[in-house]
Amino acid sequence: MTKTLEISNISKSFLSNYRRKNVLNKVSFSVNYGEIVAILGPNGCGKTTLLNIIAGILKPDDGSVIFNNEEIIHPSWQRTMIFQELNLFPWKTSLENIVFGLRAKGLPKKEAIFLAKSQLKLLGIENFSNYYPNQLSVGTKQKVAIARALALEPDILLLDEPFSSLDMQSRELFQEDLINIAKQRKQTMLIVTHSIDEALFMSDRIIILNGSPAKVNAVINLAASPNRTPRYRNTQQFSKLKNEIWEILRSKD
Amino acid sequence: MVMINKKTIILKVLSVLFVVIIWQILSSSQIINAHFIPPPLEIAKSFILTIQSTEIFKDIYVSISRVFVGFLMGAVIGLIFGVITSYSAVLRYLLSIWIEFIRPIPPLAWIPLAILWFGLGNKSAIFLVALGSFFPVYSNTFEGVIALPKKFVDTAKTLGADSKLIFLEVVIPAILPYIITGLKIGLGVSWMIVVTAELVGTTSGLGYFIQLNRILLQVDKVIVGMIVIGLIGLVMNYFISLLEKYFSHWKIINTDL
Ligand SMILES: Nc1ncnc2c1ncn2[C@@H]1O[C@H](COP(=O)(O)OP(=O)(O)OP(=O)(O)O)[C@@H](O)[C@H]1O
Ligand SMILES: [Mg+2]
Repeated sequence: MTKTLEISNISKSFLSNYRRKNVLNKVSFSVNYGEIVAILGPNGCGKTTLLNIIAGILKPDDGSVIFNNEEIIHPSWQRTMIFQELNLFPWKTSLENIVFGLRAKGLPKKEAIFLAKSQLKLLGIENFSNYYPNQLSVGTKQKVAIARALALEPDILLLDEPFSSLDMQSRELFQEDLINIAKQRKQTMLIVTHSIDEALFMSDRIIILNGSPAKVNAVINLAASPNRTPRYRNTQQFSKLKNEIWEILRSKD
Repeated sequence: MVMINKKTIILKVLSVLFVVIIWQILSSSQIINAHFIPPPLEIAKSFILTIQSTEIFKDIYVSISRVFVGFLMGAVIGLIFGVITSYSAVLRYLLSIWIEFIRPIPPLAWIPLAILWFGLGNKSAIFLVALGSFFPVYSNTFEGVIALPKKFVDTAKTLGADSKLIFLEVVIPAILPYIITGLKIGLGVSWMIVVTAELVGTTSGLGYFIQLNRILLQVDKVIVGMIVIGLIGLVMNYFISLLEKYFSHWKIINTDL
């Protein structure tokens, strides 16, 4: 397997109220092509900070991020991100938000519109094409943000707690939708989450981030990528893994 | 933004009718002295005569063109200064000390200097209008750029946008509502300033029209002039509101839901 993303010894601290707060401490891991990796960590442990560094909108104090054999310096659509707060442009409709991404990537306008429309259809939200974000439900906004990022076909898709604002049922349905699309396209993904269930269901590998400052506490390989049908959530294998992860989280607290 | 519906129109018409009728009754029963303020019917007659004689249209034209030129100058300079000072901290401090110092001086306090520099007439009035419209446009533009959430720029970058696309499709739409608010306030201020400037510094325009008729003791015409000024102000505000609706419809939609 070849690596697409390699993170080595990333450290990051923030200055707040004249105090230096260490958030990340020598975090290292890598992601292979086609792999879906989950980063699991409690609230406020630095998950968003880590993703921002990988996306290139934040500089680490120390360490390096190598992406496709090059040190990253700028943000790029090849490492595009679905933000925790989605960050849809409120002055653009669903369609325009997606078109913007495609044009930013460099596509001509006509092609961008065509692709954006098919992306809206893929996610079943074509009826909301001409709605502004303010007019959409949380779930639909979520889907527009996913569509905007997926449409770019990035080398790696970064997702920051993509489903955290959804209710239980919608969340599971969304997870299933996304995983199906991702598997079909062999889309490499790095998903940040604080939900063990989400990490287990979505990923091939779980990286547990914990402590203050946060570091990688454990890596769990979910050997032979599981069969992600809704039923998988109710299997013994699933609950056994869930317990194991709980044990790790408890013992490292 | 409140939608125009039947109910609000009816209320507005009722309000106007109510005041006018009471006023007419008070005048007819001579509780209000006609020298002090003429009755509405007389004003209406005078209004029609003034319009028919078309003498006032020249003054309307003069006042509006002064506002147009002065407002355009003030707004463009305000816009440029707003953008510059929000992007460069050095320029912000170099310029802001002057801007903040001059801002509290009422434009009308500049009339003596304006007349000294530009003489009586167009140039003085235009200068004062430009001065008055500069500040609201400047501070609103500045505030808009400062308030621009970094997250939207970051998002655009992670989608691959270059600085041109970011400026055109992220920065501009985000600050446009602020700029339009500035323009709206600026235009209102301009209209007030032009009339005031014309009262003292010119020999044409609606302000001069009022002043002249005061001297001629034609109170009805003074009031006709005031009504015309009010109506034109309303129309200007209406056009800016249309602009506002067009460029910040995404915001308006939000509050209507
Ligand atoms: N720009 C910043 N300036 C100062 N402190 C910051 C900044 N960004 C993040 N922090 C701090 O760093 C820590 C980690 O924040 P981060 O948002 O990365 O956590 P998170 O794991 O994503 O949290 P959540 O689960 O709430 O999304 C927090 O304590 C936060 O207060
Ligand atoms: Mg976060």
